[in-house]
Amino acid sequence: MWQKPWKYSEAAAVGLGLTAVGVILQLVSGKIEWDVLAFPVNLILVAVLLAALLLMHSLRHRVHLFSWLGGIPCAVVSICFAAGLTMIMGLVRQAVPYAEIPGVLGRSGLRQMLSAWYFVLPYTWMTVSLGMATLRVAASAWTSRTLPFILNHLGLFLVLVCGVAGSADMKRLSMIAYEGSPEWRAIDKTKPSGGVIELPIAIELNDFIMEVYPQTQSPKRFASDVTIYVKDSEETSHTVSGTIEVNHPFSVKGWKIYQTGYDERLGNESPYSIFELVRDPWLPAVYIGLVMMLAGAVSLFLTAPGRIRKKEESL
Amino acid sequence: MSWSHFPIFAIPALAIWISAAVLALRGRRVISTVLCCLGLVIYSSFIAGMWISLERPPMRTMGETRLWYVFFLNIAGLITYLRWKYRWIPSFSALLSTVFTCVNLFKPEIHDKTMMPALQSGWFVPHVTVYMFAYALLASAFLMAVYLLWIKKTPATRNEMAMTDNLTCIGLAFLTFGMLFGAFWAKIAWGHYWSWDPKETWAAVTWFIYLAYIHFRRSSPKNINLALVFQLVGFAALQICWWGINYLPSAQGSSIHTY
Repeated sequence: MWQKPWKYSEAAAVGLGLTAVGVILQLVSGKIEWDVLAFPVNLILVAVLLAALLLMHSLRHRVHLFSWLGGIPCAVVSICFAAGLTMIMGLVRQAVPYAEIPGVLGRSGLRQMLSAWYFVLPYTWMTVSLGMATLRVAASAWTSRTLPFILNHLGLFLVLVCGVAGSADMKRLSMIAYEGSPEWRAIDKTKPSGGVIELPIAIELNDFIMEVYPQTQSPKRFASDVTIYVKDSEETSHTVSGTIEVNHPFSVKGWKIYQTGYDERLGNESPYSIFELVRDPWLPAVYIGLVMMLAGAVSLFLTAPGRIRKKEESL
Repeated sequence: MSWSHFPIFAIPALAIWISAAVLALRGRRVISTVLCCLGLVIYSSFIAGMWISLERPPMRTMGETRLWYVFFLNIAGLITYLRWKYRWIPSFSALLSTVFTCVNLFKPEIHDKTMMPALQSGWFVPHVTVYMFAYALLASAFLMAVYLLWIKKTPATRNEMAMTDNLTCIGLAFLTFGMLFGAFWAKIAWGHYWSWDPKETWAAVTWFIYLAYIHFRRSSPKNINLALVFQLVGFAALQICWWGINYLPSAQGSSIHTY
């Protein structure tokens, strides 16, 4: 072991080491508080990550660790660690990130894996490996297989990095709007205290509409006919009207408004409608990544049959 | 059309597929292919009939997804059979089709037209069908792995591994389509593209394992047994994702993927 070139056993050792460091960090400092990543910290960290990747990439011929990070053994083992830890997450019932769970189980982080150090460190390792592989292939001679490679790898990289970085800036608010009275206050669902937030938009419910299946009386469609007041500046505002329904959110001023609930005892006669307001400034970056992955999957499908092994090994 | 008509379609389709399997084993490729297609026509007529009479895509319940699974299993099986000409492929499709059809025959579901508003979306059909197609392809890869690990006595040939790799590659591509369509839909329906719902968590596990397989095959094409172990683990994760989470204590009541 530790003889160049590093391969699988070194990758396994690194993975186990990172997980062990994660466990120690978890026990010493507790779970990760993702709120500290809020803008501009997330932007700075992404810039630092990109700079570090470029630096490691430029030094890859001198430092073996860096070239190994962009290689397949590192990719396989880091994916396996991510899979294994995600499996644990799937086997233990998960709680919301802000919940304070008492006792050893709370301290261990098993019920809040997304905030556990031993979960995040191997995932970070996988992301770094992904970034290094992307740079390695982008910097080598381009062939017909380079673009699919970049789409698959850079796409996933963007989704992982921007998804995590953006999670601290994402707002998910809950609002109850009564018929005939504009509502501009909402409750932050991601906070334990559920602080009340005043918004630059107000929603007035004109009518709540509901249709049911005749046989079972279960809901077939529910929607809210609304007028939205948008504050443009201190003095000026304008209104927009529309219908908000399940699977058809309404976009206004950077917010997406979703129909989530109503008074279930009254159904069509519900005097109020419950909305969720979502704001995710990093969404466009994540969507670019998702679309790249989509294009990558198309090329994976198209190029899969009848490939010749020798060509692949050059990648 | 309702579930009460299912045996009228399912039993002839199964009989035809089993005869196709027997004929394929005897090397009668053309007639076997024709019979496979005939079985597909009968089975898909039932799916189409259900779609029309339910006035919604028959994809909501587990029983309905099993219909699509059998449908895609036979399509994937047929493509594989025509492409690689293994005589045992139709037997495998017929066997799995029999198992899943019998589950539907002996555990009939209540005829239920309702579809909750969250499912009423243009993403519903593509999301479910590409996943079922992926599941069918990955089941073929799994069977190939079982065959190579335990049934076949001689080492796997290059061609056999190329076939397993291709099935996995295409399966993974479709798994990716299913996951991404799900992400776009979830953003529209639930407000976020990824919520780590138990179904999503296990979908991620499954996706990672097959991802590890194709990477491992690229770097160590000689270590076949270990690669095939990835197939076994991946297929197990896939089963947990598809129906196992309904029985998993950690997912009880916490999944919004329950219909």
